[in-house]
Amino acid sequence: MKLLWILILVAVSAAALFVGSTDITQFRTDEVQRDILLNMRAPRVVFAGLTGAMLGLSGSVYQLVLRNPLADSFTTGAASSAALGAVIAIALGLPAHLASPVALFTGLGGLMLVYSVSYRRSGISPITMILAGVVLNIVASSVIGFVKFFFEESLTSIVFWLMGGFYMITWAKTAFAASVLILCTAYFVFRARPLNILALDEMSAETSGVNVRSERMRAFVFSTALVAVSVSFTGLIGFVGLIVPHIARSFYGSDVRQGIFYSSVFGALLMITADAVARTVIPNGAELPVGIVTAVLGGMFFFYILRSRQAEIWHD
Amino acid sequence: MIDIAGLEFKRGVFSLSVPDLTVQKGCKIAVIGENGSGKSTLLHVLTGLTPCEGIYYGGKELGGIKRKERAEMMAFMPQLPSVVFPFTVFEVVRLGAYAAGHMKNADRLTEEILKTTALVTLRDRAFTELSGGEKRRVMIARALNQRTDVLFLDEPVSMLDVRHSLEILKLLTDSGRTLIASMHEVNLSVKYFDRIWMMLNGKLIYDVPAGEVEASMLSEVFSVKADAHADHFTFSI
Repeated sequence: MKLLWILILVAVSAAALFVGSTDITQFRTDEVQRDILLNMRAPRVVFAGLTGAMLGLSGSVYQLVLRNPLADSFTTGAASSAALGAVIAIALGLPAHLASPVALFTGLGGLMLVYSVSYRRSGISPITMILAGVVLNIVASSVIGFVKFFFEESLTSIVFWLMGGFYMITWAKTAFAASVLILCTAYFVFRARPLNILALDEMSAETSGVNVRSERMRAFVFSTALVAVSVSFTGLIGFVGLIVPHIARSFYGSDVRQGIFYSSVFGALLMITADAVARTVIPNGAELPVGIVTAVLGGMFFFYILRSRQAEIWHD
Repeated sequence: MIDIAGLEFKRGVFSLSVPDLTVQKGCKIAVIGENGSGKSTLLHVLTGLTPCEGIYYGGKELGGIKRKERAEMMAFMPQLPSVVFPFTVFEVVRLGAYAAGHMKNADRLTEEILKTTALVTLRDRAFTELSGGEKRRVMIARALNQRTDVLFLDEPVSMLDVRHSLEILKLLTDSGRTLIASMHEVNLSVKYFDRIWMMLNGKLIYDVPAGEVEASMLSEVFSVKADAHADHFTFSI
């Protein structure tokens, strides 16, 4: 089954290469078209896939370790605080390669703030967590707007940071994102046993030999690293990490090992498709920020989860 | 063997006090007392969930035993166990085998436990869709699948119907493991357990063999009138 989904991913990626404002046919390409195909579209499609995989995987881990079906990088505020870090790094003229580490730092800071607000002795309050995440999103987005106002020249458009997009993607950025994804995936596969046990209530998990607090913190670092890399190159793309893990679970169960693979693959598929839609939905070659596409889908899905999982979410 | 020596614990206005005693290997102990008398806190302290001095397992102080080693020695089911996301019954019970480090043969061990706990028919059902009693049985099976010598269970038969209560108690008490469980059912406790610990306002005031429980002790512990009959107790206000 896994092989089938990989083949589907390859097929969708190949199809996405030929979607865009410039008409490129498979068999007759001139030099310009070949340049567009190999140096613009190919890295863009691969990067979109990697971003989707990173957001899907991070969402899967956030939902598990926070024990909240509504958790993802967007609803926890991790993505917006990571974006704020990247914006500040760029505005202050720091070298481009430092944007991701700064984004990781601020993303973790934002996540820890939301976590500490929602943590009680009896466990994490799902509703407090989402409310705190929403407030953090608003604050971080406002500060991004403020920074953009002061550093007009050095920053790309505010639309990019708040709604996301795959612009100026290079093979070097793609290789970096792929390395981070491989590293984090390897970590989650290595820690699959204790991560699975985190699905239990805190007392059962502790007496099952898992140091809940430190396991959670390490999972936060690795999943936020995925978010930070994604955000610092593509801006805020919301809700992918919310939708994808639920789809993966509904098909292949809740085991972490399945979740790691299928959340990554489904995330990649969703993002490549969303990017292809964003590139083509407006006539005359204009592009829609991809975050708009994912936000429309994700917003509806959020309501669906809110309605269908009421008992679980409101248990506090 | 579990030794308790000088166990004193305080949290806010609540304090827990247990006299020095030894729990022999294979002994089955029911902890009874009113709500808020400290039964759950005692289990949390004995499992290391709430750090406290004065508890020794096989001569080693509990605080000095690593989490992983503890998980191989003892399993615990809390009062309100839960699982996030629709893990199947099989997957939840398998987590017990994972806890004990049985990775390669986890599936086989889990199938065995599902049979002994009569959960085979629920095997592929989502845990989140089960009734309260079914969830409790699954979590007991998960604790059993940890295959430890010592089991701590916080109200193992609350929410269970009569038949399942009796089946689970028989299964637990026949398992040969050391068992310490908080209980509300006095008569079931006396019937299925070896010793009864009675808690009052955070103090363990009686530690007696099940056959030596007296109505006066129960009256004191529960602040009710207790009457002893041939093989059971009745209570009135």
